[in-house]
Amino acid sequence: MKEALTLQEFYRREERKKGTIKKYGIFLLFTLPFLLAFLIFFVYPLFYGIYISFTQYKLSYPGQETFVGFQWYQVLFNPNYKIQGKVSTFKFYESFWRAFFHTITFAIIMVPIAIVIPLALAILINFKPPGFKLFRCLVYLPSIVPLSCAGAIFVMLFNPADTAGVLATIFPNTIFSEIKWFTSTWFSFNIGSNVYNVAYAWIPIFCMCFWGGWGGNFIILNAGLENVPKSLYEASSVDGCSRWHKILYVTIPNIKGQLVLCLFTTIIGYMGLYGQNYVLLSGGPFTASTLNGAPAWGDTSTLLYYIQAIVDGSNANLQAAYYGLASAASIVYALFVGLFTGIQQYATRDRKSGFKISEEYSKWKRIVKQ
Amino acid sequence: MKLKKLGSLFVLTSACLAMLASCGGPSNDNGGDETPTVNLEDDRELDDDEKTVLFDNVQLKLWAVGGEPDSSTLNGLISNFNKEYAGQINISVNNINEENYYSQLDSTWRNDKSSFPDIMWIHNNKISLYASKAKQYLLPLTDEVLEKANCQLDFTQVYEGIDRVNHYKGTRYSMSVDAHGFLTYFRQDIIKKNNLGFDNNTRFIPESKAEYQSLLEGLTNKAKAGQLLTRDINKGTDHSWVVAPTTFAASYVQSSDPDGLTALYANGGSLMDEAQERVTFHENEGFIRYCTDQVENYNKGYITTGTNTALFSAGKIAMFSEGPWWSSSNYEPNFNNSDLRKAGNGVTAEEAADPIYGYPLTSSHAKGWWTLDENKDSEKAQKWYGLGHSICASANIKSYTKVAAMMEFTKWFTQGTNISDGEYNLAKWCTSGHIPAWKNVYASNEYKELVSKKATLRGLGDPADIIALESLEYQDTLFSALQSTVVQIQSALSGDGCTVEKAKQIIAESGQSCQESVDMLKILG
Amino acid sequence: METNCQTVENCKQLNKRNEKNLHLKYPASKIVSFIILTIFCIIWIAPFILLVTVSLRSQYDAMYYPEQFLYPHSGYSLESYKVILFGETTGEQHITTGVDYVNLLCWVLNSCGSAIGGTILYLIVASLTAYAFTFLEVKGRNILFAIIVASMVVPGAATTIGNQTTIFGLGWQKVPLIGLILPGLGGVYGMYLIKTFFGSIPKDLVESARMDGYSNLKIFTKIILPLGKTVIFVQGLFGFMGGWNDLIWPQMLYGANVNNKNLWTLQVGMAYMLGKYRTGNQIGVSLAGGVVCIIPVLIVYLLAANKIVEGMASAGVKR
Repeated sequence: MKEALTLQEFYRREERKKGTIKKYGIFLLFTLPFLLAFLIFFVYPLFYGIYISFTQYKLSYPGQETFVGFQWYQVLFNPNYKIQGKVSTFKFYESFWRAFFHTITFAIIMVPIAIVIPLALAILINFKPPGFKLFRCLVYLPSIVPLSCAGAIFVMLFNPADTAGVLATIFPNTIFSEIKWFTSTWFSFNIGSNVYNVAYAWIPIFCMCFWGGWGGNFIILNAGLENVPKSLYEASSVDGCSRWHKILYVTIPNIKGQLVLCLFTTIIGYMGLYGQNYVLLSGGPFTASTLNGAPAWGDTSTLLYYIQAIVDGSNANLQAAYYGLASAASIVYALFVGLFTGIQQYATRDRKSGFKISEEYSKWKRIVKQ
Repeated sequence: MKLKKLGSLFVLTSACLAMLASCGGPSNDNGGDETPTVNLEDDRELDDDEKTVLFDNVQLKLWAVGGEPDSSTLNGLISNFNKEYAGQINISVNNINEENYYSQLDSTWRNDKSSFPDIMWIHNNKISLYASKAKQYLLPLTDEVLEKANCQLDFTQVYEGIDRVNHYKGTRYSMSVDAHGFLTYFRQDIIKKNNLGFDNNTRFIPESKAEYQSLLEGLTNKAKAGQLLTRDINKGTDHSWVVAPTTFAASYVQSSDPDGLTALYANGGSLMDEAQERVTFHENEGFIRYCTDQVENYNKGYITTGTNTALFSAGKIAMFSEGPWWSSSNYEPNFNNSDLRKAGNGVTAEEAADPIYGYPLTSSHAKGWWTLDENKDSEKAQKWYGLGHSICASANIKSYTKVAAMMEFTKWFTQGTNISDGEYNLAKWCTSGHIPAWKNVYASNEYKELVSKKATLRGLGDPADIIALESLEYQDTLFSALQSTVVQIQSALSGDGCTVEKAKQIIAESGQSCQESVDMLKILG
Repeated sequence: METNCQTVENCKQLNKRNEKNLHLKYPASKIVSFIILTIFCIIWIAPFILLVTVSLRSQYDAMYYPEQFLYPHSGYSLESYKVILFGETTGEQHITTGVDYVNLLCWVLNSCGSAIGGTILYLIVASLTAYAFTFLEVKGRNILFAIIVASMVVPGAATTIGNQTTIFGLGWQKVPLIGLILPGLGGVYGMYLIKTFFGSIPKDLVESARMDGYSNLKIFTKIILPLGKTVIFVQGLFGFMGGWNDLIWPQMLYGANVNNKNLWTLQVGMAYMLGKYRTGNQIGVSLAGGVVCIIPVLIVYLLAANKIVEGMASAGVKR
């Protein structure tokens, strides 16, 4: 039996159909410049990069690359791989995974700190002590210093006393002058037959990231805090919440969006740590002499440094012969970062909470009423 | 600071390696190399003698690597050239500093070939790289090309030690202009005052390994005994002689470039063997001793790590090595300042008049300091590794007229004389702190006068003593392996400590690892 | 204030609590936070002070008396600035290639153009896009957004080569500014940030405006933008900082080709001056270059920081 339609219902359905096309059109209009730039300057180069990772790419002769299939991926994942069955590529495998190890460890240590401390600062400033406007300005200030300059400052700070290091001469006979920050090993441990040297140099790197990198998170979280409606605080006061409980149960859930954003971008940021290591000590100190010549064989080398060591041309032989490897490494890197952020997004996904449920209900009620 | 030093060390080591490879010039090794074929358009307009090429408004683009004062000097000379050849040849210059030059070259080749230069003025350690299959940016200067371009240069006038780096696989790719390298700077006043000089305290620059070592030990042992006299030579400070602290060390550690490479070459070693199959630098006894001697000297307190030149002028250290460009622009005026030639402020009248005490800073290249006793009589014993500039034609040139114009320019620059005073143009170029690669220019009067005025040139010495890099296809890798070996040992010294056994292990492992790298590169093509 | 208490005990307790809240002028929280923040900020700003003072010392001073960074041994000197800005080297050769005011001005203007122009353009593009992803109900919108956000994990190194081909193919290395601004419009971080903030604006506000017959553009300009002022300012600040401090992209684009010098940004110019006189080893000169790059930004930042404060105070969701 055909459904009986009222004129109104018929009209509404027609509107909805037309509306869909119109809606898509408006959507496209609003997003066109962004999508266009995104496609041209991101999607296309990405596919080109993926293509390169399957070839023996010749940097100076772009059209003349030969297809090598999964060779580069084998180099990265297979420790026993031999190029064309002749020469072992173990060096490249080993330095890649060492760099991975450095990156992951540093990220795991750094990311929670990089979220918690700006959050604590933002909350402290939210208490509005006298002069909080000045404090707010000052916290972001170091982030405006460009990286090379910040590197010069920290090199100057941590150099040993005879190379005019500031900390070493101001505090003689303390840890600042006793330890050679850029060349000493902190501790080493053995996994199987491999020796891993953990350098003291991670501490200046940590300080540099600490100083120049967290202002952004702080600003975002602070802005988020300002947007928390005051009525919620009042309501919780009335309910007898202590200050600590207020922070835990009112503040944090309400800035969840910003927190997730900060977490996401901070993970990406620290997995991509490269500039600080490079500026301070070029990925060194270099102690694993059996890996001499592989990209990123230093003790503070990270994944992105592996890629950059090939790509930036400081060793022209690496750049000419291993460009495909760099491309493959960046794809693998992207997959790793995607994995970690995927886990993070899943763990912090939106769960239906009380407020949301009531919202859904009122929406449904409105529809049903019509 | 470390970064920059590493960067320039890297370059120099690459240079060293490149020079080492081309021992003996074009007629050596690689008998199977073919002469590359060149296809250029023959659009020359020849003069009556069927040889001289006539130029009608030929435009050439030159990219020159370097900073100041090189750029100003070069630009001045090129504008003289343009004036002399007005209407015939015009050269436009692009000065790019070293950090960006090579990446700019690559980027332009890939993306914007029409802007690629016609002539390149580069450090000669890069010649092999740009001639090799991976890049092929250079025009091979085969006999045919040289003839058609009316090349009138007599290449026997170029010192063989330097010229070898211009050849790759038996073919010439570039022409040398000059040479230079790091110098070691000495406080000769301290050496003299403490009676540690040579030839009865009249010569203060060591000329053998034994003399160099005696200087290190003499200075440090005297300081430990509380008997070393030293003074501060900075302008405006008190210049009286005081006893040096017992923590005094004679020198900073030496460089991997040029000293490491000098240790290799002067002892008959090379980065790769003649057949270009095996890496050999880690097997050379001279190089191994260079590293292990530094370890021993450091552990005994004769040398220390770091490069703080302020300590040098304050008298806390007596020797260090640095680039030659600092000499004239910074060290000479600041360290040999007029204070020291006037009595007063701690300077006695006798000292003010003395040529050594009045000019306490002196500099020199390595003079057999790393040559082992058993190699003392070989012909390479007193030679040292040096870098330099070369002029080459790029593969972007498509016509013989342009090649001929480039030859004309090279002839003008290296062998030509100034219209007004008849002096060599190359000698004028050498005012920026390089020594000429051409014998007749070195012997000329204007150059001799220049040497008497410029400390840098005195320090750099005779170009016949220079050994340039071998011609190597993979010199970036080889140089970086050698350099990182030396750097690793040196930073271990200042960090966790190092022993002779550990240094030998590092050298062996680095050499082995480098061999793997080279094998892989050969397969990957 | 709650007045509903069952027992006398409870009422007394409640009274006490309410009294405490009424008479709170300098509660413990404010004092504690003040102390912590002061200590923190002093340590925080110390490297900054180091930056400025060391750039005002002579090279010898910095190397020999590093600990005297507040009152340098031989007094303050502008020699580092002279080297980085005017190319005036110390010593006998005393080369001055002359003050190239035109170059300096061009560099500053290019940096300003790229940073300010790029940021404004980006804000427009990104906020429109964020609006579309938040308030335009279109099928597949969420999937598209997830893909776009997922793209943030790809490192720059993977896309450089492809971008180079595009940019040089379009010939953008010969024109000012365009190559600096347009590629940045596809940046995801800012758009993601703005969308997050837009997401906290209640949807019924937009619904009711739609039912009143407002067009999407009107809703955007009259309702969303004023409410999202905070994040617009925040992203404006970030975008400006990123655009100003960027060295890698302009250097790749314009390189050190001296025929193009007027197209460079300030960062590229400072790096060039640093390398030209081989002064990379001189700590004072590289820091002076840093200070030169920071000063304009510092001025903008201090002004903008006030605006942000005002914006944050007056924005906030009105219910």
